[in-house]
Amino acid sequence: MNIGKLLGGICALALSAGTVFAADAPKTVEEVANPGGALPGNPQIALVKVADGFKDPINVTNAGDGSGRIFVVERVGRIKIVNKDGSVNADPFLDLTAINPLGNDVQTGFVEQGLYSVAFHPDFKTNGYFFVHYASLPFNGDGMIVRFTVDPASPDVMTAERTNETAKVLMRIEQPWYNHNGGQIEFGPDGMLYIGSGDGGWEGDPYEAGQDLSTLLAKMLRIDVNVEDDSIPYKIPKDNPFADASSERLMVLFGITEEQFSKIKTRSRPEIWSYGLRNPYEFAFDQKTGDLFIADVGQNHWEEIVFEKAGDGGQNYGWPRMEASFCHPMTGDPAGKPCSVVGTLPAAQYPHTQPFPGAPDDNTGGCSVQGFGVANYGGMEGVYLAGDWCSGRVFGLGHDGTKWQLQEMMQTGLQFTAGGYDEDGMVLAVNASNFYLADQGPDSNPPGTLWRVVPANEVPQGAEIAEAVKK
Amino acid sequence: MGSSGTLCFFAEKEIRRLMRIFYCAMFLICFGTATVLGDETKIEFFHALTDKPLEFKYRKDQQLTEAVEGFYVSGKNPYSGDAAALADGLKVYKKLCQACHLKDGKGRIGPNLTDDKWLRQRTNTDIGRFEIIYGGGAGAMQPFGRRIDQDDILKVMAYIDTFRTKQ
Repeated sequence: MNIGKLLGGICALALSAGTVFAADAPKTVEEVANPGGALPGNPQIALVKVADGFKDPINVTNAGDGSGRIFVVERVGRIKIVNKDGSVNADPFLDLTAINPLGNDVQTGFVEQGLYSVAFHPDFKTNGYFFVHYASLPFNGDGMIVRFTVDPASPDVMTAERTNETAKVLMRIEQPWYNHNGGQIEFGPDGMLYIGSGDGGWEGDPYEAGQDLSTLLAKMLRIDVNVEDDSIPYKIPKDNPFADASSERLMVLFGITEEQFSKIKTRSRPEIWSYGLRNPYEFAFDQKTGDLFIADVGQNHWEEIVFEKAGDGGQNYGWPRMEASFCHPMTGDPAGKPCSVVGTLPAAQYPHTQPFPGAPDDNTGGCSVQGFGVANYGGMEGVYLAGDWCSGRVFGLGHDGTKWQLQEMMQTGLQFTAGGYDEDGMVLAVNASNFYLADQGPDSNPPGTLWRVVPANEVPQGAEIAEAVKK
Repeated sequence: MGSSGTLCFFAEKEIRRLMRIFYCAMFLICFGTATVLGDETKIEFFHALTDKPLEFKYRKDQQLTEAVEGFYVSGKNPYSGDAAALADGLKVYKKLCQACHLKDGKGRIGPNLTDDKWLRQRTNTDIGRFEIIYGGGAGAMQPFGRRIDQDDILKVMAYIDTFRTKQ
């Protein structure tokens, strides 16, 4: 055998094994990545405009049906189709503002409320199923997870009649307050529907929802939407971490271990996949590895990005005991103050202007992390891209084989709200121009834009790119 | 011969040089004066994030007031300290600014406007403040030139100034 080939093979094996082994959640606070990191190969990106004119776009995805269509979610309750050539259909694909004779079915009174996201069934091409998550006006802002079925004769427009006729409500998540509603829903590589659910709002997690397994709030949920009988909303996947823990059973006091006792959690909700999240408004699966990244929006001082290895549910991400890698609540400079880590640490964190009460200004971060997706192109391998709503920064989070690295890719004048993928696996981003407080309504703001993340040296000729600066 | 020839040569060169200067001056007088004067009198504005020349592309049908036209030349906000303008500026501030910078200007989502710390040094001037309000800065500091006329930008700038004069 050629010795060179053999060595090459061994090296490749070692490298890939090393990467697989290394890419895990940090075990210590020191391993959590902060701004200022360097991604392998220092990849350069540009945001290329795909289409604009959207009213408060807050999510984007594709249908996976080979049509090349991109679906942009408008907060007010509409979904617009962007065709492969960049044209935007005048008639919305879905219009929840027009299905209820009493008015809009979507509650948009606070900027965190609205139509959050859409996810297309992995077999959408054959069954026509797509799912949305939105704040319901009739249900006072509760989160509705609803399935609709597209009419094959009208693939680009759901009429109001069709929308009402085919609506199947899977879940209603009660929302005590108008903020922290989560939002993103997405099918994982395992075919299950994942739902990002916020802690219910106010601040500080008044319900202690993060650590309370009896509520759907402050969790990543995972359900199986493939039911034979449509009178059943969904099934609990057997491998959900609390699928068995929640079952009622006869009491056995003797002959079982403490570890076995600890797994009995009869008040836990079997839909829970992982917990201790504050506001997982955006998350994304690495389309190559199946690993999950969650952009968990932080409170006053830190934003965090969680990494979860594919299939590794049951994690406690710490909220409200932890705020990123710090103990919550923060009362001052955490340096030198002992703090026992609760749960699994995030892979990365970045500060707000004030990283702790009384801290000098820090201008390396932002205020609200809005995840886009995982890039596996342009020199990027498993790099999770996320934008910040306040600072307009785009961060790239990747693993260099030894540790996590959070690199600022660029700073823009854009107020990022979310991201997703096109059918080719390219990462997309959307930005809006709304206000956090006193927003003047989802139809009243200057229009937002859909962008595609492209390697800087592959920007098509004549393309419009987002103005940006790079340190 | 030799020396007079040299002299003639120099004289000829000098005449040619003077003629070139004359032609250049005539060209500038005929074609370039307005531009030159315009550049000299009108402030050059730049985008607060990229430092590229600021494009005045928003609300093109707005009436540019005397105050705005004056500001283009002086770089000084003519509404500074003007009571009526401050009242109008307060209305704009309440509607568009205080969501991020808060009622007292001390900021939370947006930076503190009551101190003299500026992320971009040029924002310490009326010109820099106009640039960032009209053309936007980073992220949530969106271009407010899309939402309000430039005259209103000057008014809200005058109101924002009161945060610092109160200190």
